[in-house]
Amino acid sequence: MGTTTRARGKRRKLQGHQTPPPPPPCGAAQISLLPDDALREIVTRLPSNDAARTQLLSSRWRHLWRSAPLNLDLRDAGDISRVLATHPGPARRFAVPDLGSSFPNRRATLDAWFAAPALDNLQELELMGSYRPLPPSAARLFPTLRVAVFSRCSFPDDPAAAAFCFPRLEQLTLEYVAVSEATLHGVLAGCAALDCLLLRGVRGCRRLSISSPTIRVVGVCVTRALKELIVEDAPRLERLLMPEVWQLLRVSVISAPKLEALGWLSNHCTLEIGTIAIKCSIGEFHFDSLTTVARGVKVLALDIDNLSLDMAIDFMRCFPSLEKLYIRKFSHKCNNVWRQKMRHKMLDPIECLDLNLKKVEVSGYCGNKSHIDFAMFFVLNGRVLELMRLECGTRRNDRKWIENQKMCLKLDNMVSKDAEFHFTRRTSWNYFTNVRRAHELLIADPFCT
Amino acid sequence: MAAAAAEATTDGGGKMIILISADGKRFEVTEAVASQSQLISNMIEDDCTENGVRLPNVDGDILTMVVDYCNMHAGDAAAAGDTMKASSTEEELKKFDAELVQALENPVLFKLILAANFLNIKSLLDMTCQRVADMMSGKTPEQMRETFSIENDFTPEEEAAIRQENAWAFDD
Repeated sequence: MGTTTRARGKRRKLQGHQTPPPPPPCGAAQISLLPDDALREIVTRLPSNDAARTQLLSSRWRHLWRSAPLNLDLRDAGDISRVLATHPGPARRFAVPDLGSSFPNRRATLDAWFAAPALDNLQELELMGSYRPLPPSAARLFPTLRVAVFSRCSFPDDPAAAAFCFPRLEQLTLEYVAVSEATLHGVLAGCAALDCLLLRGVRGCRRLSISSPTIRVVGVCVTRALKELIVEDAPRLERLLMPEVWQLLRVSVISAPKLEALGWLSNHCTLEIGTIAIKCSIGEFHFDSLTTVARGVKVLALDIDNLSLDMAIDFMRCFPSLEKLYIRKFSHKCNNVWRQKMRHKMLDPIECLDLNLKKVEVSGYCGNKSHIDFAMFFVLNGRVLELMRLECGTRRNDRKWIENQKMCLKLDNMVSKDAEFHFTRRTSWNYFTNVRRAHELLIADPFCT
Repeated sequence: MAAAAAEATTDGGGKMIILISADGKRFEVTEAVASQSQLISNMIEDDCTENGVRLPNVDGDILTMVVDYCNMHAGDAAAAGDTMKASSTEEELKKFDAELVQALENPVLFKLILAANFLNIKSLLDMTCQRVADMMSGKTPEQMRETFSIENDFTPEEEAAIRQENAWAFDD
């Protein structure tokens, strides 16, 4: 004991940060040897019923549920009012599915739940259902929220709704929510820490303008009313995701110096990035400017019906740093005969193909002449290609077809010797059909299958 | 000697830190890698790492896993300005994480939680605790006890009282 005198100063300094470790439980074979803190971390991750049931495990576990932040999902807990009365709070997550209009006193019940002390300091709220407007006590939860999903409800049409202030919110998802342009802009202005914004089928708002010093991901899909998306000033924006855009959408990016992933550009989008204007509409497609380029973009996803190799080359010139290119809904008709017509285009080296493009993924590959020519272009010119995937549906199992395709594509002459080449089955596209997994868009490749 | 090694720097110029496990194994890592542990990050701030950091309740096998994990994840923060580089490794990272937790036997998993909790490495703690939660969910209390060798020390009366108090959780 006396031997530690010399080190005492240092020890004391440390104590502000840590509790001294318990004697080494090196032989820990049982869950009960974990400290309470760690057990609470486990309990708070369990579905509501399972979490409460841990009280019955042993006297050690008896009090953990009450002292672990509440994780309450109406889908797996029966009597919410009882739970809220039993747990002292705080809460980590509260998820309320659509209660349905037959639920007795729906709005008043919800209002009472939101007011319960058990929900103090709530971190994550998922609220689904046609509440018009939201119950008043909901607003008391907003200041501590990090994650919020609102689905099918409506926000009060009051631009001065100061109650809609989410100072700590990092992820906001609005799904089929009715919200006016002024209210939405007011809400966004009040989100000082926003990281990820997803809008799916939002009604009542034609124009969305984004100015945020913190935001990294913006996703819009099933745009409906939304006609114009303007990224005014987003110094940290990395991903601009637009899957399932079926109605005309004008996208302008004025300032997003860190933008790296962009897509899906569809026949319904017009896009302006700085001075580059790209217009893709049915039967028509052009770049207004090929003299300037967007160097930052490294991942691009295209969902353009009449995409030709000609266009793909334009895109590569426009985004010279492109490392990953995703192409969907590959049309059967497009004319990709490149060896005759493209030669003049190839006179200028394509920086993207020579230095950067590592991955190409094409879905809807049918192996006809034009598809072969399209894919072969990358086989014979992608100098740094690491992976090429052609999604060809059930043909993947047709060995003879595959062998023939490999020959037609001249895989033996692939310029990038170590590149992997795969024929794959039909894949489901991993865009945000499940809005609750929004946070995954922050880490994974947003277009990867 | 330890001090000399601890002062060493990498080619990239980052300072190195020595971590010492309960059984005396030594691991040399960069400050950036070690800082994923909030505990060590605080020690670095306080300048208490020059003689190596002894971790008396983390044995060498577990520390090997923790150091691997931190090495794999060190790119995250460092490459914030270079997302493409990060995102190509993100797929690998996800795979690495999934394989890491799936493969663990219970005793090792608990030791890893213990280490993540002690070292205060939030992402590793999240991941490992989620794995245990996944193993518990959907089970009756009896099945949970069996899975994790938890001894029931309640009297039948106590058990009945808890069931009654939380009846909502026990109606199936």
